[in-house]
Amino acid sequence: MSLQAKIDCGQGAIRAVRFNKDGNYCITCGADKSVKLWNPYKQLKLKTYTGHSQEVIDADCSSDHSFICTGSVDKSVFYIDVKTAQIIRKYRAHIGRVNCVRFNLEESNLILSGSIDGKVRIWDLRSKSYEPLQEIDDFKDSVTHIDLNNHQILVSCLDKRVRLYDVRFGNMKCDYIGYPVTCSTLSKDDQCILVSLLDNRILLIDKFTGEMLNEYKGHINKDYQVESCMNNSSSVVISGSEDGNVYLWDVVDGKIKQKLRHLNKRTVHSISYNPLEDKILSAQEQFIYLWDLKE
Amino acid sequence: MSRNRGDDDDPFDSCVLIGTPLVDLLPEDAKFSVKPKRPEEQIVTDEKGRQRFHGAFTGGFSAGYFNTVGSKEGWAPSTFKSSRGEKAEKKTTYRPEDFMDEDDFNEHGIAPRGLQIKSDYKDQYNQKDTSLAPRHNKSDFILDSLIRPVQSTIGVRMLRKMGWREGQGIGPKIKRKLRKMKTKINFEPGRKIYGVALPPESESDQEENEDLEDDYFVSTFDINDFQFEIKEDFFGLGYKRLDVGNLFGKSDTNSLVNESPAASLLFPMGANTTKKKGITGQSFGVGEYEDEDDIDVYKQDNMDLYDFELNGSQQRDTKKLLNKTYGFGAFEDDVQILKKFSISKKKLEPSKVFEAPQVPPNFNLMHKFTRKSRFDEPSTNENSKEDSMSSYLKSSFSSRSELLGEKPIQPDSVFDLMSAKDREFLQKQKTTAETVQEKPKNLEEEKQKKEKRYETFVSNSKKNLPNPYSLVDSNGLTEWEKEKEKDEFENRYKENLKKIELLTKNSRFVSKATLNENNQEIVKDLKDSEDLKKEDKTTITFSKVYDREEPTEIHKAALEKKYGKLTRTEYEWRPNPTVCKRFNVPNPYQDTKEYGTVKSESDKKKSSQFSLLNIMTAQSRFEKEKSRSLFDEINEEVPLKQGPSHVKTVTLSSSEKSSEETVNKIEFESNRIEEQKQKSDFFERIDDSQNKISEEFQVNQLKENVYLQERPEFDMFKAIFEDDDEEPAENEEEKLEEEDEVHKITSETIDETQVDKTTIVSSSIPNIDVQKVSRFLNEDKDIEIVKEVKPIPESVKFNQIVKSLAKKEDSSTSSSDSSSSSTSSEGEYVYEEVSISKKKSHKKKEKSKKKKKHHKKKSKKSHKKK
Repeated sequence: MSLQAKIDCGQGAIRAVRFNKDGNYCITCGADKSVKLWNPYKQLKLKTYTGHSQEVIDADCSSDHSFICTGSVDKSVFYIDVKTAQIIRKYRAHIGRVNCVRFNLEESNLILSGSIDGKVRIWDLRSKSYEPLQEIDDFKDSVTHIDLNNHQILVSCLDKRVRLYDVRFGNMKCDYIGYPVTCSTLSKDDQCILVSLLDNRILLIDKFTGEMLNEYKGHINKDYQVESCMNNSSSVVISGSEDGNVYLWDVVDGKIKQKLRHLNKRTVHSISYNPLEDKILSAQEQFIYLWDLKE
Repeated sequence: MSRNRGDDDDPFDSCVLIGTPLVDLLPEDAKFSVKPKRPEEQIVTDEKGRQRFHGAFTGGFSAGYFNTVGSKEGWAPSTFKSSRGEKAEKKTTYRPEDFMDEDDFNEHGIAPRGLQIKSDYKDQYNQKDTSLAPRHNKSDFILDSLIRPVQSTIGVRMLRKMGWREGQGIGPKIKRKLRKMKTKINFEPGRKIYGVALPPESESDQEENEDLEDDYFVSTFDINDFQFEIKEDFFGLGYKRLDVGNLFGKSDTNSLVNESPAASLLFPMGANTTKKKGITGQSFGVGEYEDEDDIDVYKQDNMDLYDFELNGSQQRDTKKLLNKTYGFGAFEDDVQILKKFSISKKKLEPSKVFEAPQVPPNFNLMHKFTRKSRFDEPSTNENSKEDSMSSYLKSSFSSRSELLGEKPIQPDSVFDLMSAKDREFLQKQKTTAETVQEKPKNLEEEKQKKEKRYETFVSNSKKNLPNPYSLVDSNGLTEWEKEKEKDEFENRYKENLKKIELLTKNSRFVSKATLNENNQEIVKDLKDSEDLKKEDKTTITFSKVYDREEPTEIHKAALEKKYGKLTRTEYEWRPNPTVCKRFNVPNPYQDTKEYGTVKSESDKKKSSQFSLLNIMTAQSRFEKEKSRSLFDEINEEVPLKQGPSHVKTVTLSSSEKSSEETVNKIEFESNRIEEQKQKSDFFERIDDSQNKISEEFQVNQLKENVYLQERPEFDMFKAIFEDDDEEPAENEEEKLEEEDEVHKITSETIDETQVDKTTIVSSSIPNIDVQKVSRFLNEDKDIEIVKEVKPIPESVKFNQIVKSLAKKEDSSTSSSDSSSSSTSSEGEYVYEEVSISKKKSHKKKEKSKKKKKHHKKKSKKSHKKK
């Protein structure tokens, strides 16, 4: 396990760092309203995407790597062409800042955006309409995170609930967690949900029954939206922390396996796991760190 | 007889060759290529070495491909290509060019295409090329060629027509002898040379000439224009100094020029001179490379060669003769004139020469640049003139006329053209306007008046009157002011509506911090709204309708980490069909068009909300329609987003909960903070309008409203359905069947059981009086109105009332979880349903009676089934 690279992105505080779908590149969202495309292995900046009028909170890469969607404090969702950096579409319907954006997995022809206005809006990239295809407004507070698999949409919300929408079955499972949820991700094996609470805790919840499987403690997560995820084999839980570390837990015994110490003790709030290899990107202040988890 | 070469070594030495050997006609080199070329080898290439079809027109040696017609691929017929994008042109006529080769269009081909000099001018060029006249330098020649006239002069043309050719002298032809003599005179040693000497005739020429007969008429020699050489050095006259430039074969100036063939064309003289190497000059001997051996190196300049007096030489006569025949003064004397020409008696007047203009003494020859760089600003001095000009142009018509000394035009007044009546009217207007202006305004008073006017405007516009401002008492205002005020009011009203909409939206969200502190009131100051600032600097404070207390049981379970069944709830969620398509998933609800989360009955109860504004606005509408039919316009879907401001919902503690049901109780509570005097005008106006409602009407309506708003007691429904023992049907199909009937029945009951209902309502909720509610809003008293509420969501039809009744008991277990979503339209929907049903009920009173009976039977049936 080693720190492979530390990149100063030069775009103010990094709000989110995301690997693309094959893990060769990454995008960073900066407080300076820009999104940058990087090759983190070579520490190469490839492109800068601008257009938002306020800082960019989240971004996602499409499955064919040719588009980026971004969500910003300026309440808009942009659909950007990677090559030309042209903004193809600007969606403005959210009333508040957009907290999370995500493409649907298979074809990336939808953008799902969650906002502080308590709504998840689904935008159709195929149609010419600038109206959302569907608005999910079950949320009573700010939507913090969206995760997807092929037919399910997992939405975490500050109203202490995690909602799992199943497009195939046409139902929604709402799990009351009891604490504001800042991040919820589906595990790669599609069995569990990992839920980060504003309570210094991460819960592993069975997707089918809603029962708690395990609990992970040790990191600090009280005030900020700190992301967590699982590795590709669903054996390790990874989370950022407010004490400048990235924590790794063993899924089964729930003990801290490893701490990835960053250079200073500021919050590590965004992490992204390489979809193919055992590598993590973490964002702290204006830096992104690339970690290799191979032993 | 001859022997073969090299007979010594030849083995055929003894052989005797008989006969005369053929003389070798071919040159030495050609001997090797005696063998005839095979056709394959006979490839003719063009000047660039490319293998080319050598056209028959140019007499090529190999025509076509190895002397065959066609190409390597054989004889290729012309192809015809035509596509949609590039339509082929149909060729009907062929020109000879179509059959010609590239070569034929060359300079030497049969149909040259390049630019060529017309034959008319060709001669001129040739003449120049062969011109014998020396040039002072090359630049002269270039200049000459540049300004060469396009057309030859009229004189030349005339001469040509008369048989003159370039290179000939002008004048009558003379006998050869005479010419010879002349030339001899010319080149007689010791003869004075004027200008430049003509080239001496070559000896061979002379010899040839001698052979020819003497009485041939020959044209005289041409004499070129006299070229006066400019003396550029300080040597003596006729002295040729050493030309060092030629020492190394090339003069510096020519080195570049000579290399290109074009240059050699341009500078024929230069090209010639460079052939000579070494130093040339009079005082220098003949160099090693000098070809001109015949130059008299040791020539002494003979003084006899020079004239020392005009016309004082001995050869005066011959000179005169020469003069007469050609050159200057050929026509000076009348002796020899061309035929048909006569000397004019009028002497040509010398062309007038104009003197050059006198240059002023202070004129500076040198041009002074005012700007040192092009980036400098143009000096003002230069532009001053222009400025004055432009200012002149810009000056007014009157000032210009003044400058020009014209008589100024007196403009007539417009008033002069008006009729006396109009003038009077205008004057009147003017004075009134002045008085209005002068009138000291009591600003405070004005403001108050304006506020009053606005209030009436708002109340009017709430009545949906077509022109709300028209009824406003706006006396004492001018038309213009009225217009202005009208616009202002309209904008203000719209903005207020928007603000209220925004407030309702905002009220849905709570910050995390406040979320944690349960039941804490959220007060928001809308300081940014400028309009409100103006209006008494009101800060709208509003509480949120938000149940922040989580359902206790679930919460407990969550805290105890008993996640699972307790914490999980499942809803029906209908994805948009397109979303399904994009997810590559079949639509689970193919038959329904609605999408979104469908909340179960228990949840619906949870999410029950009561908006006071719903009632109030509805009331104002009731009032509005008082004059007309009561329920006509309620159907109009007017989005009422006025949220639950001033309303705070609090779920009652479990002790207060009624025995059977979990009831969401709405506690109307005043915002005690600053509200008594500071209230947004919008609400005030609503209140005002409410006050105007006639009491009697209001009471009746309110009772109805309340009834509809409330979820009636189970017993009451029982009474309506007259199902004493059995529970209402849960079966879906049954419900669907009954839907219409239920609809009608409910409406019917409203009509028929008016008295009953009111009693029921009063029994269940003793103090409910919306008037009181509104009054409370005005007076801000701490009255708590506890109410049972049963909102009916838009999406759910009336049949779900039945459903909800059935599930009522379930709901009793679940604690009240009122969602924050305040869909004011829910309540509204109820009204609409009522209105529809009312209308229907009027028409179908009789029918409904029958149906009621019918329904009773049906419901009984269903219960039996169960």
